Amino acid sequence: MSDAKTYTLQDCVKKIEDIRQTFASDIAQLGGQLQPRAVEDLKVKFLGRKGLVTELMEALKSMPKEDKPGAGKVINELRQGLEKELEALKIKAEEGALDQHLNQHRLDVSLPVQVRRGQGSLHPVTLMRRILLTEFRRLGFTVYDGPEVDLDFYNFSALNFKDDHPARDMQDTFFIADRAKTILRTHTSNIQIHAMLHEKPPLRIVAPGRTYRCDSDLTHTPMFHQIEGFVVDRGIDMGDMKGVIDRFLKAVFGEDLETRLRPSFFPFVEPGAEFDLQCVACRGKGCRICKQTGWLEIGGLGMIHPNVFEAVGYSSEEYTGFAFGFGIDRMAMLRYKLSDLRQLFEGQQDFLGQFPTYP
Amino acid sequence: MHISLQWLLDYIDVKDLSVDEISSTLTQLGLEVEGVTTVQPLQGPVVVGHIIKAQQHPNADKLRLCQVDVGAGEILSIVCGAPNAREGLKVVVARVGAILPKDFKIKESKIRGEASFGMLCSEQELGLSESHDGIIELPPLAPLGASIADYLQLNDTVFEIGLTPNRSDCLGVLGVARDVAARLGRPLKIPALHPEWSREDLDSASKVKVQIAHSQDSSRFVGLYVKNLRTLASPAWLQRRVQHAGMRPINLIVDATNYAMLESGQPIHAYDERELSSGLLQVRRAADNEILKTLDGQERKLLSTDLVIADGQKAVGLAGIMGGADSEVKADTQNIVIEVAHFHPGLVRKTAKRFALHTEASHRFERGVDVNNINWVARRVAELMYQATLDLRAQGYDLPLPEIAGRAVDIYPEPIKALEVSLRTSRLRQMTATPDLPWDEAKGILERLGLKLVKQDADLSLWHIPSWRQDLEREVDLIEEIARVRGYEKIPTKLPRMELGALAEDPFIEFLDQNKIALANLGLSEIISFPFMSTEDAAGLGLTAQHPLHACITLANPLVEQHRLLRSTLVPGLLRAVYENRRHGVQGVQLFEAARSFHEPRSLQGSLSTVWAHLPRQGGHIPKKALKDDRPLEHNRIAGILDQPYTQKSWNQAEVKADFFHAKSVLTTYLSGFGIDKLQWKAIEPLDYPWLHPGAAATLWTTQGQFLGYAGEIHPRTAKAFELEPKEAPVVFEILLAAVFAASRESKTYASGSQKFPPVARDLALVVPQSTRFDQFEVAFAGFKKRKYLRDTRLFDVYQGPNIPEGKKSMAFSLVFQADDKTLTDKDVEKEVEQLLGWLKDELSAELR
Repeated sequence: MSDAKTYTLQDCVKKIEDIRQTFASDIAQLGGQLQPRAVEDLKVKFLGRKGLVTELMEALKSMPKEDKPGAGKVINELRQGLEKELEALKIKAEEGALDQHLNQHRLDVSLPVQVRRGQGSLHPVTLMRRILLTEFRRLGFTVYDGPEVDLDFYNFSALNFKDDHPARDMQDTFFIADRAKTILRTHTSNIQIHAMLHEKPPLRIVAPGRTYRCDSDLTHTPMFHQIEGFVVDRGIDMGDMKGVIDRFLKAVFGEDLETRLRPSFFPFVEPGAEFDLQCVACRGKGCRICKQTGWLEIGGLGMIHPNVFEAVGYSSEEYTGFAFGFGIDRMAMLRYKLSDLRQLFEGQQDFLGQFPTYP
Repeated sequence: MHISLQWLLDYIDVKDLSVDEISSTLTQLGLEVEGVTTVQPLQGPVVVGHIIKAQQHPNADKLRLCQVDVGAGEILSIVCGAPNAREGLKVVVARVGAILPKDFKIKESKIRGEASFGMLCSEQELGLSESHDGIIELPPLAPLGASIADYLQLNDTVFEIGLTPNRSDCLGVLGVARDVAARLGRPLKIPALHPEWSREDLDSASKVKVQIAHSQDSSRFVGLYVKNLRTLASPAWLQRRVQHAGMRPINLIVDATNYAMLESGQPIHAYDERELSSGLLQVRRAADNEILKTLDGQERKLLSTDLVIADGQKAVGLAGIMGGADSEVKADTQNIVIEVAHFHPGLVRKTAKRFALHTEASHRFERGVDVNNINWVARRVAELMYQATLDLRAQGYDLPLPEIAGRAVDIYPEPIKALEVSLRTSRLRQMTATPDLPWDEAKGILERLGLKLVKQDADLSLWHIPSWRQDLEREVDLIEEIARVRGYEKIPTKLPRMELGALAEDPFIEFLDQNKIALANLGLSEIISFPFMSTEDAAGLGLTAQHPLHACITLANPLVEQHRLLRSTLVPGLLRAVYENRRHGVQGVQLFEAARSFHEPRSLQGSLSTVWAHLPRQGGHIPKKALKDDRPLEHNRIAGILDQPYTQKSWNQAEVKADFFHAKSVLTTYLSGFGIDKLQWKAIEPLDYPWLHPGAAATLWTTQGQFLGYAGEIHPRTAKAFELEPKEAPVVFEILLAAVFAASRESKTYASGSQKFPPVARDLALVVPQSTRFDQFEVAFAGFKKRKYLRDTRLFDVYQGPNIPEGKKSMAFSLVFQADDKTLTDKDVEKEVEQLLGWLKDELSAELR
């Protein structure tokens, strides 16, 4: 081609056709496995300084003058076409190379990882308490808090425990040394007194907390958790009391479960009762958990005793109210189907770590 | 309290009700049935037999071959080993096919070559007692061939009732029957007395004098003289009743006193007349150190707070608790003085508690007895003895009839005043949410419970309270009685109508939980431990007497010595949890606990520590009105522990040991979640924190100078004291939540966010003296006066070793420069770096490496 033979336009068109064919067959030869390097080589072969297209451009010089503009145009079209195609090939080749590279790095995804330092856990009693508080807040209750070490007045006297009443023996109380009438609270009912002395009716209050009694065996721990609730206003009656307990137990454990009251005695309420929930395990049919009775004893409640109102300076004629209290630990055990109370307080991470952070 | 159904049926007819129905009636009355036992010890043919011939067994010295008539002309051959198997005796015959307790099946058998068609039974074999002295000797007139279960009244149903302490009236079967009768609306049958059984001419006063030393110790004391008794085994009905109530049958006299107590709730004691010196019974306080030997054989040293029964010379019984050994009823006792009395409940409780003597009697006296019924009970117990004697005579025993004194000695100086309580029907209806509650129904309930309507005036009625219901004091008590007997199930279920949001919640309450959630989200597990610690724990922490945390609140009556103190820090509980986890092979635990610490208010003032003086006075959970009380301090804290290793060795990572910086990282992240992101860490004063590694621990402060808490590695000595390997000491932190809460509520300004112009980064490695601390750089960067564009500095390397001069170290920082108003040029940055280097050289002698 380098001889002095003069090119006509037709020659030129034919040559272009040849170049296109060569290009196509070169690409076909590369097959699917495009390497960036091979694309680079093609670029040199066709568009390089001594490439086929450049050579054709050289030949343009020797063409008849009238053919030059037409030939120039088609050669340019050829070059632009090839450039475009090569650029596309280059991108394709680079991506292919990246894929190939990544594909060669295959992890053993089954290798173990240490997951412990991910999410921690909340204690089941905390989870249960949060569930309960959520439900009570929905019912319009305000959460209140109070001291764990308290004076006899708040824990007993103001709650109508007479000095000589056997009920005081029922409460095996921890006493604080070297302090007069100071104890670890035996129930969260002390909050009734603190709250009533501090706030004015109407009151809808719940108060969870740690409580203490000198008792330690398989089903008792010297520290345990209770939640206290009470409502004080004009015209509160036993129907309201039944309704609130029923509503909250159903909300926590299931709308299909029945609740019931049984008369009972606590010095700070009158009338007094205990409240039961249909067994969550057998739905009332009778099983090991409910000792075949179909019912679970949940806690105590009653209409606030007029002596309690009088101890905090409320008019027992103007106001009536009800109070209830129950253990959170056992409720958590029911909810999470746990059988060993003591395990709750032993701090074993392989047990406690199983619990979530959201109830 | 065990209630026998057969016994209950004496007082109220509930034969038409099933055991379940009776059980649920009791529970719905507030007499909670905690268990039901079916007593049916025998199955199959066990009958009354008559030994008509008893011969020596031909092949065994100790066995007898008996011919036993079992009725209807049937004679069985039975081999028996009991020495008392003799001709003419009425016996208990378990025939072939019978099943005795413990699944003992009676079969036809051959004993040493002789066929035997049954067994003659002892009390033990029938499950009546442990006595295996010989076979049971039935009364001569026992009906031949009769079923033993019927004849001995063996079958019963026993309800176990959990009584609340206010219901002392139900400590007798009669009281339970009264409640059931009130609920069911059926008549209550109170046993009638038989005045014709007493001897009008016999006056107890001729045999016994009674005195009450202090009238407040005993309101009433009745002595009744009964002579000519015999201490035989009681008739079957008396034995079974006592037995099914959970007591042991002894003899006719003792069984009758127990029966009358179980029936009425009033304890009774019988004295052998012979043992009462000078015929005197007095209630008095014991002399200090007076000795009394009680029925259980124990010698008891008494105090002047103990109430005793004494004769002319000495104490003969611990009043209301247990009789004395000397005056008890003996096998040959014939004449007795029956004591029926009231004793002060508080005194009885105190003494019973001190001697750990909880008896059937003390249980009842502590809860209070019916003072007005004492005379009736005295009469009743004597008549039970009379009745039992009559029954034994009817069964062929030859024994005389007892003689009951027609007059008792009755000391009752100040009869109790009957209480009258008024009730408003309107209040009853309001409180029970039953506006249409019929008055007749309410009135009927109170009357069936023994209350008497004194007068009625439209809405208001006045009621006389029976002496056995001292628990009924106010209107609400009557409302409860009506609601309870009607049934709580009849009260409608509704919800209160109240004002919205009357009381705002203290935000600290939810804040406490959010702290737990934040730490849990950082990978720690919450534990809850008992708030107790011991003096050894305090010593293990290195707390000396001068340390403010040493003055713990102390329990007067801990369960165990290790629980004597209330914790002043949460660290011991966490160390124990780590110990437990390690013991179970669980490594590298990360735990936290949120709880209160307890302090003597004085202990935190004037202490050697400046740090602890920063503790708040009292936790915010103590309502202000209670702050005036002299009470211990309670602080809400949250504390965590990171055990070794922080990360276990793995295929892609070497083991990482937990150190101070892990705790610092946890705290920094956790506190930033509460908007507290400018913290100051100061090296600890070792005396303030003797349980921490002095060089690897720090206190944590807000920039306003509020003390928040501390973090550090546990001192090897403390680790050892808590049985942890000193080289593997964990890392702890402890935070005061009230301080965090306050800091989290500080107002804060927020920058507008991302800058418009691009940042430029430069890294600088600076060589400084080895003692230079990071926070000195922080101060220096903060104080860089010519700062125009420096926006951020981050330490990325600390290096000592080759290429660094002795006594020096290299600290390398990534610096970020950025302008608010233009894109920085290299020249801008170079200029500022130059100035910064000059500044750092002046401040910290830092040289570019």
